[in-house]
Amino acid sequence: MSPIESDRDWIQLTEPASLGQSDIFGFFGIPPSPQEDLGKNIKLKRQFWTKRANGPGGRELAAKVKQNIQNLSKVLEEGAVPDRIVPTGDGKYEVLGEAQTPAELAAQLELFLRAGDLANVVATARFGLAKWPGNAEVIASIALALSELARDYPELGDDVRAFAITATDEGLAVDPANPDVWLAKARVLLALGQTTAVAQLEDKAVGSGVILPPEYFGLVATAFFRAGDIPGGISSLVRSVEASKGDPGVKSVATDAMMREVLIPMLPITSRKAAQDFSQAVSVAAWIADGVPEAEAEMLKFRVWATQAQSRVFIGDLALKSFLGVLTGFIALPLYSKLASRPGWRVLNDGPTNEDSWARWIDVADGEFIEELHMLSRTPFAWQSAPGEKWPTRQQVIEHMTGGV
Amino acid sequence: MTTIGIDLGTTNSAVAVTDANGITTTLAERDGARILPSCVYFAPDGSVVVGQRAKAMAVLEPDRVAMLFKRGMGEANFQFDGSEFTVDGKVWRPEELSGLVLKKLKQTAEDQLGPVSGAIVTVPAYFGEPERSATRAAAELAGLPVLRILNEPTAAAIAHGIDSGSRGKSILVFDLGGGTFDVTVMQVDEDREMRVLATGGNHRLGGADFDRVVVEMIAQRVQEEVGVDILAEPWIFQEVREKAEEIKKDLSTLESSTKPISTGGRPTSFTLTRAEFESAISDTVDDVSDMIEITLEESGLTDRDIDVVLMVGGSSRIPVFSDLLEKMFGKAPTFSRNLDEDVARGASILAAKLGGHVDPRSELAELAVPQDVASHGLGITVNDDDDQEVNGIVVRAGELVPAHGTRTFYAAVDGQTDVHLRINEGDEEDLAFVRQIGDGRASFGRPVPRGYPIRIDISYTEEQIVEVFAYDGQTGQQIGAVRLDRTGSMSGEEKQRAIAAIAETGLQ
Repeated sequence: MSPIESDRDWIQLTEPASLGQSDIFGFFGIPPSPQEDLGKNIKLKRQFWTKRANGPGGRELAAKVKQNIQNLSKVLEEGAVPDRIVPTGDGKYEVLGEAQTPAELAAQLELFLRAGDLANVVATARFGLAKWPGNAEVIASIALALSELARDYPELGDDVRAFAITATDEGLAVDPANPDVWLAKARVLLALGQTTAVAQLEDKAVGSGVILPPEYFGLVATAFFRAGDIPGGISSLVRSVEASKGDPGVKSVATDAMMREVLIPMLPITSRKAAQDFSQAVSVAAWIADGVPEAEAEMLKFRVWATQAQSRVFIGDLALKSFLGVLTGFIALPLYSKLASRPGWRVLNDGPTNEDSWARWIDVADGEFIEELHMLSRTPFAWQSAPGEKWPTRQQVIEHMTGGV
Repeated sequence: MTTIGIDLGTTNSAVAVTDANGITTTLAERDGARILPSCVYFAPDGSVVVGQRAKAMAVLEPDRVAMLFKRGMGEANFQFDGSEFTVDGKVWRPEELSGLVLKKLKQTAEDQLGPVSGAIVTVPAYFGEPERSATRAAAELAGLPVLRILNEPTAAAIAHGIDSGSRGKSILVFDLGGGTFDVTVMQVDEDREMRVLATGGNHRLGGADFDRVVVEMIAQRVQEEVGVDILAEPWIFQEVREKAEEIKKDLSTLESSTKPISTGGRPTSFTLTRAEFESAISDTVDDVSDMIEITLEESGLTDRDIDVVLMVGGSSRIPVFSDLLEKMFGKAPTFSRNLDEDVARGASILAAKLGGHVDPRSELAELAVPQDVASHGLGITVNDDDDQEVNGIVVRAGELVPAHGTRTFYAAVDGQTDVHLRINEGDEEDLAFVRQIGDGRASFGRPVPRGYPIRIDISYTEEQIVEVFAYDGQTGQQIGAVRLDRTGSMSGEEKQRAIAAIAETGLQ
């Protein structure tokens, strides 16, 4: 049926019975329509009232309903709102009552966090812990909220920090076999900067016979990276992928962590050992990314440079090389080639600094990914005045070498 | 004697003439401009100025300049704040102001062509009966005989030559002007008959609203940076409104535009990018998109059926709208050859045809007179089975004009002697969403029992005048009639006074 001829009750509704979740859905005809029809229903309703708003009568009411449709569809797009939370516009909410379920508590905490309402985050967390002591779902929500707070507000008071520890300890005491509680504890410890404790917690969990979720190892990896223990971090990322049984989401997150925490900080390569380490780290990251197209695509440039960085580039005199080859019956050729060549990373580091180095530098630097990759690094080359400074293009190099065109 | 076509626009108007051979010319004002801003300035000495000079005076004396009055046709209050326009104690209604613009256009035509015998005046397709009546009244005030009130998209289609090269094609006309928005779906059949299938729109949406959006963005910036509220300062406001219009026009071709803004002696500047502008009007773009989809659905066609998308009206230059249409229909829209003049030119072509002085050998002689449709339904207020008052629809929207509908209703109570005929415009039964456009009485001449039949005939004439007749359902005798040949928001006496006043008013 055409939206403009519709006699469906929900299309005619001018406002929801309340601003609770179920009534907002009802305003858009869910039910009777299934929830996947939400987008379609919003459009049907909007078109119906747009027609009315442009009609000969009742324009003001229709315009008001159109505004309701716009506001409420936005609320639903941002995420379902519990029945006891009322959107008041400008992204703000009013809480009409205490949470009745752990899911509602989680939603309230999320909304308060989004609104930057610290006092209510803490008050709601305390209320939740008192109402559902030891409930793993509640502990997880509280840990998530408080760790977000601790990350965004370093000035957070000691009482809140202590409460976060107490809450997760209580969870462990009540339900020690629940991996989510261990995850919550690790999250809080990490947020409070207790990186060593995070790594130690894993031993305790494993000792308790708990099978930890992949996300847990991700947290441990973050703790290691923050503590400067790169091998420890890489090891934890590998375990997170193993624990997930190759879950694409975990692989994607772990690949991103490898790039951000390990590979990019290793650039630019400044020694033979560093080139070898980079190559090894890239191999691990490529293994993590394997099977996830976006992650593999991201890894490609690292893999290209890992290979090229160790490849040797001839920097000697080609005429001399030919002459020596003929003179020695080609016996001295390998030796000369080795003596007169440099690894790619060194040629790149030397930069386009003199007439001799321009041509071979551009041969290394002009790859599709090399500049893009090094732009991610905050450490400039010696020949750059600042990180992020654009590299000379091949055309510029040619112009320079030929004295301009 | 000569016939002319007039585009009576919200922000700009134009007049054109088509000769017997079908050659069309847009007539220029004395200053050479073929576009006349629809602005009227009432000088303190009593003189009245219409056009560009009046628009320029809006900066100096905003309270004495009337603009955008077409949006209030049929109503007394048309200004943004909902107030009447009053100068020196006299309230000027939109019909009178439009009458002054029409008089100016008529003068332009007569200066060049001699006496004018009739005109076709265009209106937005989505205008209702009161707005059309008010436009007719405005022409009457200007002493201009109206051959026909023609829908703007139809006029644009005629001017664009849609009829000659488009046999068997379906056309969507997107007309976004200075103050109104129309979308019309039409078909040209093999006999070159041009038939409107559906029309929709919003006669309070147009370029002026986009100017307003930019004005508000400037106002917010100026408030933050300089601490001056330009919305409360009429002098600054008018200047900013002009700058806003320039910025909006710039952004049709440029990615960003910067204008100096002078606020209380403190110069500042304002830069707006096309992306920021498009973001600010995104809700309006959604509305426009919805109206296109609704109208297409009402026409019974789909996006794949549309052969030509014709862009009309100055605001259709805003790139986001052509992008929208290209996305919706999968083909680049065609822009009317002259966005600002084609409506007047199309009206003049039809005026020449209807005026009867066309060379029978010219192509114009073969032009089929287009058939419009009723943009809104018509009905009367009746009681439903639950004894609740509802709109009993007699003529549905989309019926070809002239349209006619008949429906039988029944006496509500025993002993009923007469019937109150409340005539409504709208396509819904719910009275909250229709507009009462007239009323009258019908009398049986005797008490009749509950359930006694009364037949209601409603006609929407070719001249787009609504006529309602009531008949005794058993005897067939006519028992009442109402003809809505009205004068906009004015009474008959007011109209006579206005005709005299406008006739005496010398225009500059």
